[in-house]
Amino acid sequence: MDTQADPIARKDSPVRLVPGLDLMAARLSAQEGFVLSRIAGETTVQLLCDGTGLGDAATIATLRTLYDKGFIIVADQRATPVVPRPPAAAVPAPAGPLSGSGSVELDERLGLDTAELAQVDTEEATGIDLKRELRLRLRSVRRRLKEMSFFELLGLAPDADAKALRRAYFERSKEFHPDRYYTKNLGPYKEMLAEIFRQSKAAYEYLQDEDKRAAYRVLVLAQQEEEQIERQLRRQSAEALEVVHLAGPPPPATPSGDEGSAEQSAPPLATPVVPSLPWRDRRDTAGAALFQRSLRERLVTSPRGVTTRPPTAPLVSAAVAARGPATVESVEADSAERASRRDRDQARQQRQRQQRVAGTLGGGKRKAQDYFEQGLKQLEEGKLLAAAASLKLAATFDPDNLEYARRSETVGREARASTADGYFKRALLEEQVGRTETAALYFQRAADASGLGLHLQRAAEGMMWLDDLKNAREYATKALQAEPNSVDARLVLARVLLAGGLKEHARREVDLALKLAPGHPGAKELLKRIKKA
Amino acid sequence: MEKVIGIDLGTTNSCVAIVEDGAPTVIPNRGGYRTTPSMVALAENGKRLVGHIAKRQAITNAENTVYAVKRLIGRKWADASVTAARESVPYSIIEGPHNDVRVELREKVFSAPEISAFILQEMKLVAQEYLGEDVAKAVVTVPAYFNDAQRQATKDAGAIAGLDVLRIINEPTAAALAYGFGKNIERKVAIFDLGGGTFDISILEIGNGVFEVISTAGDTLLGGEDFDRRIIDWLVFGFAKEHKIDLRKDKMALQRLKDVAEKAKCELSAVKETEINLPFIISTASNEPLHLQRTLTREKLDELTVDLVERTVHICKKTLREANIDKSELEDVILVGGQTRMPKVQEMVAEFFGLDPCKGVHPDEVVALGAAIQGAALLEEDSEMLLLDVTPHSLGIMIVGGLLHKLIEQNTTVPTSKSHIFTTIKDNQTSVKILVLQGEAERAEENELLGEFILTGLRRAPKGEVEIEVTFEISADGIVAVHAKDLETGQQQSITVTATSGLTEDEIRRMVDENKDYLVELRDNEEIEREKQALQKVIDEAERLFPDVDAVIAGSDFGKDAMSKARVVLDRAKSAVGMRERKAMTEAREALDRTLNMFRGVVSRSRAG
Ligand SMILES: Nc1ncnc2c1ncn2[C@@H]1O[C@H](COP(=O)(O)OP(=O)(O)OP(=O)(O)O)[C@@H](O)[C@H]1O
Ligand SMILES: [Mg+2]
Repeated sequence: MDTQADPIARKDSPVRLVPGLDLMAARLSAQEGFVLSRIAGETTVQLLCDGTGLGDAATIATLRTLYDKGFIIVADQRATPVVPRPPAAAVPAPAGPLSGSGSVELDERLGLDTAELAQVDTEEATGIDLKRELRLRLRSVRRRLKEMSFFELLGLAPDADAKALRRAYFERSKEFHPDRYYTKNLGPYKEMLAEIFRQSKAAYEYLQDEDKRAAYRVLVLAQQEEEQIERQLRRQSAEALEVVHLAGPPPPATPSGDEGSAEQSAPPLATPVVPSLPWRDRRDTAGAALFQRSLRERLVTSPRGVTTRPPTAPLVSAAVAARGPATVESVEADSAERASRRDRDQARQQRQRQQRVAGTLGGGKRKAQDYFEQGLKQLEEGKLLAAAASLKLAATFDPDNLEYARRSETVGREARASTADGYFKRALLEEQVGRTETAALYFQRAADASGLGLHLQRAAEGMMWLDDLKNAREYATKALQAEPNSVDARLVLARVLLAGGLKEHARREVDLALKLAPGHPGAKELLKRIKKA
Repeated sequence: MEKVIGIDLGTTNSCVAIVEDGAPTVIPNRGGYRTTPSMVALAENGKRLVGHIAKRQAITNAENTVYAVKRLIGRKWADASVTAARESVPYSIIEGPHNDVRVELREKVFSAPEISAFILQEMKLVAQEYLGEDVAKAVVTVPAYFNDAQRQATKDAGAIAGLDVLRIINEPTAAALAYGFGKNIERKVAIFDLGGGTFDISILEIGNGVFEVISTAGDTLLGGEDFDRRIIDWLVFGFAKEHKIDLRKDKMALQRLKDVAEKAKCELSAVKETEINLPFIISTASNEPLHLQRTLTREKLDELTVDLVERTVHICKKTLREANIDKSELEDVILVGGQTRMPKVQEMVAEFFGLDPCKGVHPDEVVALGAAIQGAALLEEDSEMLLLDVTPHSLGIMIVGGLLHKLIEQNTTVPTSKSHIFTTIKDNQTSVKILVLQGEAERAEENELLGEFILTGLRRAPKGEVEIEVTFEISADGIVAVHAKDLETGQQQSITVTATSGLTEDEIRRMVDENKDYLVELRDNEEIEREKQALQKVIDEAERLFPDVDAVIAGSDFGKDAMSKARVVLDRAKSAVGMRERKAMTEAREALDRTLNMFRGVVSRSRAG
């Protein structure tokens, strides 16, 4: 087909939503809705293929339908024909959000979902006189506010000194202080500005303390390194995929069921994993505020899975990716059965694909060996995460090599543990700073990466702070599974159950805890609360 | 862009400025002065006199001349400062209906915001005359240490004066804006502002057009007038020792003492000693006139006021300590306020900070300039300047034991918000009263009460069980909102706190109207006056001209007739002058002018012929 007539066929075509689109009124199939939800600002077809987990063919077909129905437009049409991207070079590593002291890049792809983007386009009529670009930026920053480190919030390099810190804060103030827009009709942006300003100010104040800044820096730098490696990993996996594309017809679906490859092919979309909530003191208040909602219902439905505002693709960590299918499921309203069948299908396709790579490509084995050696070298240099990445690639390129698989597995586990440790420390720090929601996010990441009892417990608590009782229960249950004899784990679960109004269940857990540790003060206290409730 | 003026509403002097073509400029008043005395008087004819004209007649009309009203604005009747003022000022201060303060002039009662409004109005007029157009928007400054009630009262004053007050900013902050404006500097500075009635110290961080207030403190009852009072006391005491007469009992004498004391004080900033001379200051019981004559040296003045200067230094010390700032971090100290011209003050400041005070700014004008700069920055599209202001006082609520629990500490940058969870103190308590307080005192009642509300419908439970989350929010324009939420039921109550300035909304509305009426009347009167003068001029000319004309034309019947008709016109004009009726005067003037036009020709022709 002529690419001029069918711009969707070109992977570098940037598509975007038709401005002012009323999503509520649009009649869409679940799949169309899902693909639509992946389009944030201008998004290339390539990114969407990577990001939907539906596979290129299905994604493109869906995009074409959306295009024909008039829901999306192609933003601009570049003259260059489609060519498979040469490995590495053509996929520039996304600028790290922490790199340099420049501002956090205005990237419309970051963190804004369709509903919000549509709002940006429709609110113009309400007399808000801020430029579209600024509105997008404000929403994007606000969305990611909880996720960003203090350095990121200020657009500051972690090794910055006091002077640079002040400059950064002043620059931020010039951008976000509501007085800058005194004459403007700000509408909802007034509160957004104030919120962003307040958080920048909090970051500034915290980092002003040399010691705190140093401690925070260590953690953030460690994570920055991890993120960089993750990005590299993605790049390499893209490379691997290109090889596959070159080798033969694209597989019907990109692998996403398999934990490992999901990690590799996760789209480069940073997303707010945490729903945006007002800043709140860390208190065990979960459940209390939202009493009106049916309690039982809240234990089985996650606030995230709301169909009207589907979450954007999960972040790169293996952890979140593992929950990927579940998220997709809630959007598509697939039955659990269909999901698991799809998982099985995808796993099979994945195996077939790997075999195909190995079989059709003479270079596969050699490449695998290269990666393997690289991995061992990185391991020696102490670059655990990079090593894990390389070894995983080696195992992917040569799935029959048991040595590769074994090493990949052990090193991968180690790397995950170290990642989890970093996340956990960061969470503790954020909790100490009072950024509860950020802390919750990192507890969750730590738990997902390590599966350690303690991490799971804290993740469960974090979910309670976020009022996400469904996930809280999941983590609490997992924590208990990890350490069946842990009194703490049982009490965490009991608290979650109590918050959800399941008094009897909660009580049962406390009773069991008291059997394990008679006279445990925490358990007794909780029992009292259960009786009163 | 709409015009916005900056007004420094001082205790003794006020100043108005504007940013024109990017340059901040002070606007001189009609008399060419760059500052205007903050004085308001009510003349015998009911006319308001503001500024220099009020100051000039102060001695002869002391009881009806208000000065230093800034010491009263937003204060309660029972405040110590009010009591002090009542003892020292010649005008009468009375209690208002809301525990507030009013002044009575010629049996008319005015609130403090009204008096301030008259000054603001004068500054507005000065600007309007200079600009040749109406001005409706202003940024007004207040001492950094003013509380919300005083700020609100100042805002009310603006409203009464017909001004939309965009923002109330702190005087030292404004001074810093003027100091740093247009300079590409990055540094920490101290602003030392000792004016007529208040002392303020602020520490700011300036960088790249951003002005961050780090800390601010002061004393709203310490200023140049206290220095004057020390001189007055010294004079009064000496006089009493000599003549056994207390000069303070005589209001006229007191006013003269005040004038002479200030004059001597200012002179001593330039010379080492000065003569104080008040002939016929008072008469003895036997009607013998007494004179006051003394020499005051700079040394003596320093001795009389040393504790005042020390107090300022002490406050500086405390401010730096609380803000955790070392003196060595400061790169400049800026002197603001007329009283900083006193050599001893400069000396002590230089010694304390270890810095030579900045010479580049004009102590009387910087504040107004800064206010104008902030006004322009708010209205400008892409201003290069941003002020990060702070709350000058802590905010919190009253908790058990009658204590203040602070939620927002003083010197917190706005906008800001803070939450805290509180709980019930009694079993089965079903409601809580939230008292919103401002201040630093531990005991709740020693702080300013900003507002209160009640959260009801709490679950009956043992004490300590029900949790209530209280959130304080301050917006960039300093508006305080307080929310209380029952965490169990989700029930919420909120208020937006507007400090009571001492005036109700109805009162403010009434004052706005009255002021407008007064202005309309004033304008009418002025027009009548102008018309009267114009008419009088024509009448005078007619009186001069008529005999000559008569001589020329009386010979003819036609001339006689014309002459008598002209006399009728002239008589009618003369009676119109007394009527103060504008329309009648205009008509009479026009008629007489027509007649004169005719006659002028006659006279010049006859002279030529
Ligand atoms: N040369 C001088 N030497 C000493 N004091 C002076 C001199 N000139 C003015 N003052 C004093 O400065 C005071 C007035 O200063 P300024 O005009 O800055 O005060 P203000 O702005 O009206 O008051 P505030 O800022 O406290 O409300 C008066 O007390 C005056 O006597
Ligand atoms: Mg002043």
